[in-house]
Amino acid sequence: MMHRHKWSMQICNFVLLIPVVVPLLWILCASFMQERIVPFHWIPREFGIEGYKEVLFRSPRYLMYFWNSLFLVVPGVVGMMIVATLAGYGFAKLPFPGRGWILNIYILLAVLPYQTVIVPHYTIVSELGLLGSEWAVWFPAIFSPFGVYLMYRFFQKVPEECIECARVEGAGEWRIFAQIGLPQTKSGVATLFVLTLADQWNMVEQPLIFLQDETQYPMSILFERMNSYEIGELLVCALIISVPILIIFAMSRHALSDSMDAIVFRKEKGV
Amino acid sequence: MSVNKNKGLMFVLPSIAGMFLFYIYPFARSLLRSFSNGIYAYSSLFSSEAFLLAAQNTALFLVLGLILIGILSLGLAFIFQNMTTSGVSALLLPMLLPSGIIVLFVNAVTGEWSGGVESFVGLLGIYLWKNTGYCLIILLAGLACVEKASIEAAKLDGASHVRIFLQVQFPQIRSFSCFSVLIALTNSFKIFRESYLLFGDQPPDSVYMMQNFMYNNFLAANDQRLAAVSVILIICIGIPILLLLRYGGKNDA
Amino acid sequence: MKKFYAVFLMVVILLIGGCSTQQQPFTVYVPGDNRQIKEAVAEFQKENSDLVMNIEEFEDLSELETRLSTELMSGKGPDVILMTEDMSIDVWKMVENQQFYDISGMLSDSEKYISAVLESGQYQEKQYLLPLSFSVMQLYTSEERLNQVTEGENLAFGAHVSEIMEVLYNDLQNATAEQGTIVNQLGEEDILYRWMQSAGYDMLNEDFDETLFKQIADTWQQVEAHREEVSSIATQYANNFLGVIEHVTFMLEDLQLTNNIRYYATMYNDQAGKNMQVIVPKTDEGYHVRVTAWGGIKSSSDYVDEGIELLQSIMDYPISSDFFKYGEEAYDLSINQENLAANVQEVIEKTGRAKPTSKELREPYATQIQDFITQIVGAYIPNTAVGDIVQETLQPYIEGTSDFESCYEEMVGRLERYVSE
Repeated sequence: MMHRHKWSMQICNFVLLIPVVVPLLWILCASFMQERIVPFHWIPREFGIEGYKEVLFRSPRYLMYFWNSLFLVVPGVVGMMIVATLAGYGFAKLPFPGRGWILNIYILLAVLPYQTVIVPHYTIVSELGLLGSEWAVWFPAIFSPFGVYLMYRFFQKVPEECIECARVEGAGEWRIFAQIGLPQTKSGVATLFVLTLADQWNMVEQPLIFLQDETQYPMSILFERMNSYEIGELLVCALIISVPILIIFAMSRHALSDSMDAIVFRKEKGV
Repeated sequence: MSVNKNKGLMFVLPSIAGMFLFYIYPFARSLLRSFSNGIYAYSSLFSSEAFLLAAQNTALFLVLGLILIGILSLGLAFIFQNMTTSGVSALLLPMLLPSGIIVLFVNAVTGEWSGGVESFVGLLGIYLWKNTGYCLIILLAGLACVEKASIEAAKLDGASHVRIFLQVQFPQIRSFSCFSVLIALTNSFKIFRESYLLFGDQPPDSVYMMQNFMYNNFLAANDQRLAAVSVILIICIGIPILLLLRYGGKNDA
Repeated sequence: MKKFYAVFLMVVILLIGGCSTQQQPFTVYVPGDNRQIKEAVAEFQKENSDLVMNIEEFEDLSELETRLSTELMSGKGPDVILMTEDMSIDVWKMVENQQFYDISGMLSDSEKYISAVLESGQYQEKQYLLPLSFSVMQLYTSEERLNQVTEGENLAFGAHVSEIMEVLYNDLQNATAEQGTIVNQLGEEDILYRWMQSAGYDMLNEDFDETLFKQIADTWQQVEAHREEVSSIATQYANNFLGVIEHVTFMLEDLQLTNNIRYYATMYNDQAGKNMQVIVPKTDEGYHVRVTAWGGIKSSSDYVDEGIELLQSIMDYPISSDFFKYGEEAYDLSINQENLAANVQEVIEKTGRAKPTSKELREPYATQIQDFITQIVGAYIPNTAVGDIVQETLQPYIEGTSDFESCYEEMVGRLERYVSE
């Protein structure tokens, strides 16, 4: 158990990855099937790309949904990264009174399930008159507490000495942030980006609650709204909607592995 | 260093302002709203068949889900504890992939889901599929931090692998385990996404959960009731979370 | 009648953002192949020859719906669109979102129209839609059962859902027992009157007079006389159906009452699923049978002709026929009468299952069940939760995988859960 050969390690890797990969693989196969997909089988009996043609070229609405996904998700995530990195740095490196208990509130809010904040969000969004607009989806995402806390943890790892050095040499705080703080937390930034992007990309509750027009909906809730007539298109959509995630994931694998241990809430004294 | 203090405030200001505007303030408002009719909003919940059903199902799902994921991820961590981390990050994929993938897949494999115990078990299965990977990664990361010396010592004493795991390694990864439980708990509510894709607004009784109850009340614009349920939910979830955060802080040496 | 249509162009909806300038043509979307509307539009165009018109016909409803939603997204849209109940667009949601123009002031001589019909197109007392007809859904039963539930009272108000469902339950129980013949004794004006009243149609409304009522009753008598034969068509082809649900549709103008009497017979031929809807409206020229086939299989006209022939043989008035094909295009099979068995086998292999899935079945029934619930519960339900619940829970019974009792129990339970939310 303690010491394995390399190849058996590979086998173990493989076994663990099977349940991960199988659904995706099947969807890929099924997207080329022209016949009914029930009963379940792997090889298309009738190979065809009707689904692809329909989704990519004929019907404009699938691409509309995809665009909506991009439109709803990306600005929110980008905004969140900005706010979170700034705040994380501030919390980590620039102590101010009350920091401790404010951070505790952040933690609590970060781990609460989304359902508990639906009502508050809805209240403020409708008061601000933003219901039905994309801002109703962007704002809560931008100010998400999870991002702040994660960046706080990552910035904590940056050695104090570097920063002190820079301060002594008269660098402004913004420069320190941009040229010392950020580069040292690159993997953390990447991790936050991937996790938040995936979570937002998959959003289901927000469009249902804040958006009123079906034509604004992102692709993630497409699957409930369509019936099984369009299964061919659904399969292709499932692939399309996964592609960005897979790409981003592949690009950031190193960062993800690197930052694993920092993600954990290891409590030192106090915070 | 007052300069630093002010600078610090500037960095965190956008976040704090946003937090206040979009979380604290509205939450306080809905807390107040929920009491605008006295405690009627709360007391009427307990005579609502839908609420009781939802509470029951949600509690059951959480308890079963957490137990199962704990067993599964600990077991897998035990077995695979010496895996290199390179292949492991792929285990994150189920959590990252859009819900549509797994929904389409299970629909094809098992046909349409129509309720009863199978659907509940099925949802549990999806939950496990999505989250075990992440928990496993966390535990593996923790195991890698365990002091070799303590393991060696136990081996010398002749302890079995299992005993070593339970009595030497496990206590040392307490913060990791707690964090993993925390994540599993938070993500257990996200099963609503798959549930909505599979069952729509009104799922069968066996999978009718708090999220459905809240969402349907939202659709019916029952402000007060919704606020009351939110408060109850925050209390019910917040207490275990706070306990986890306190208790799970340190690793035993 | 034609002049009326010509003046008003059916359902008048001016979509916001689709304001027509001098350059933009006046756009009309027409689904399907509707002769009357085409003629009306032609007349309208003659009378307003300086107006540039663009009339688009959509054979395929889903194409219409797609186009509409895409255009709405970009803020455009047609000026007028004829909506049929088969469309899956949620009209009322669009009304609530103010996507329809308020035409309350536009209808001249509104008093001469049946107000109940007009009101069905109103929202918050403003006229947004101009209904051509208002369908009243009825379920045939015997006088005895009617009394059980209503005790002579108005059914639409105050009746509990479960009581209504009990009526349905009883009816369908008997239907199964008697191999599909649901209708028992009928044809008496008295029953007819009470049922129509119970469905919300106010018989005492002065728009409606006895002559017309008699006309309806007469027609029903005729139909009733042939009911057995018509039912036998259903039985002949069906081995499973939900029931014969009658639509009596009243046209907007009361000057000359036009009846549409529609038989829904869900016909399952062996293992393949075909839905055939036979509409028998009475026009000036006699009865015009419109046969629409949808869902599951794209039928060839051969099969439909056979049905028409059969109908003609038992009815002694002339029947002309149109044939509409729409619905799911994923199947591409034509049913060859001579080789029906072989084709059925092909259908099974191609579809991979014996019967259409519940979702596919649900679609054609969606409107009917919603109407039914609307009448029973007495109010328009903006979201379709109740309709969805009824459909989903009754579905196993329709498919034959479950008995009515358990489905009914499940449905009541779910409705009660919904109510308690």
